[in-house]
Amino acid sequence: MAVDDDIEGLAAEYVLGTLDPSERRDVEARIERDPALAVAVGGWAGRLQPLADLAGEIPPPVSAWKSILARIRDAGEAGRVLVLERTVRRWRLATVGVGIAAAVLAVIVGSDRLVPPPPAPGLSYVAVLNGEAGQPAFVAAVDTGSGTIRLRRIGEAPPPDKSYELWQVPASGPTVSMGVADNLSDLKKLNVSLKDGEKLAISLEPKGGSPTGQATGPIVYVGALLPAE
Amino acid sequence: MLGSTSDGAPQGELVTLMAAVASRNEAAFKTLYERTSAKLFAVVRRISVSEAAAEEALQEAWVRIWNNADRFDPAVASPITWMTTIARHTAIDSVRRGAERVSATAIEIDEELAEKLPAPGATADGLGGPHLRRCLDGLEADRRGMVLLAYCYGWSREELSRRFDRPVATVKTVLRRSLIALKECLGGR
Repeated sequence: MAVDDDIEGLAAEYVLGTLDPSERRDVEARIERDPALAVAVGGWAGRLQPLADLAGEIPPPVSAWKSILARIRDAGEAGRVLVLERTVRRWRLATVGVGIAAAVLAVIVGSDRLVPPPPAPGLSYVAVLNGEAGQPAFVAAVDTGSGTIRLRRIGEAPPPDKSYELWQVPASGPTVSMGVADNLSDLKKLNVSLKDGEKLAISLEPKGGSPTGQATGPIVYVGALLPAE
Repeated sequence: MLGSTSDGAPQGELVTLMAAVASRNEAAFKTLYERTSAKLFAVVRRISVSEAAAEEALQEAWVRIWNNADRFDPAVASPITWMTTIARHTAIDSVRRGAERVSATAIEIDEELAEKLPAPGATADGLGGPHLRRCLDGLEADRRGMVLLAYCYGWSREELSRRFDRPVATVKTVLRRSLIALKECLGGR
């Protein structure tokens, strides 16, 4: 399909609501990687907002909230995976440019065509490690083909005198240390096999990691491995 | 212009709520719903063909808000404009899936719109922000009608094409030109 270069017109019609469904989907996909388009859409949404405000306020039926809550809970896992996949995708795009100047990175992130194809296919898994309150703290992507696990911390850093340590948690049997996870992004060689449904956990350990080979501190974050794509 | 929502919820508070919703916080989601759902329902109700369709669209819109909250970027839009865009698109999706709207609806809408459209030289405050109102005033009547029918009532290019008896491709061109004229009138903001 021809690319619509009229970014302003496209953004304006997107907000107006007159694009046909395929055009709208294209815009939504492009917004993810085209900051100029995202800014243009935001601009148009703000510019025309007074017309929406004109509609006033009508309290929705009381029953609506319960239905919405039921729907998001039913779709809980699917929704979580959706968000997770986007997080992982963004993170992959971002890690492509590690070691390259930020300006170059921006160019790479800005265009899908310049992003190298994903590494050789192996089994891949992703996991979001959540704390007790449900807040995501780490995203892990495992590629058994290249034998690597990429761990990205998106939550708080450990206290200065502590380390986060990553653990493989099989359905049964002892947990296996996968190393200290203090850096914002760690790329590690895997020396253990991982299986669908296993969990990854992060414990809080003395600086440098557990001295015993088993977790000595509290498990602060945990998440199940889910097959990716 | 977008400093606060009409119900007085401060913008900063909505931004904080959005961030919590992005991390799957149901309590924050409920608060966000309580603060903004009446506004979104009014927007959706205006586009939908019936009360039932509006309620269904509202529910779907809130599921989309929940699922996409991590995409919200406070640097490019305020929470209320971001949610309004989602709600309008959801209602429009529902209308386009359904049977074609009957022409009687169109007549009713035209009359309702005519009441809201500013009279030449009028200084009433009915139509949106004062700047936007002045700039809409500056558009030729047909063009103003197209923009308003599309934005407020979710009319498609095809519906506008029939109503204004212009080819669909022309409608697209006219809409884009009208919107760019609006932007220029608003000082390019």
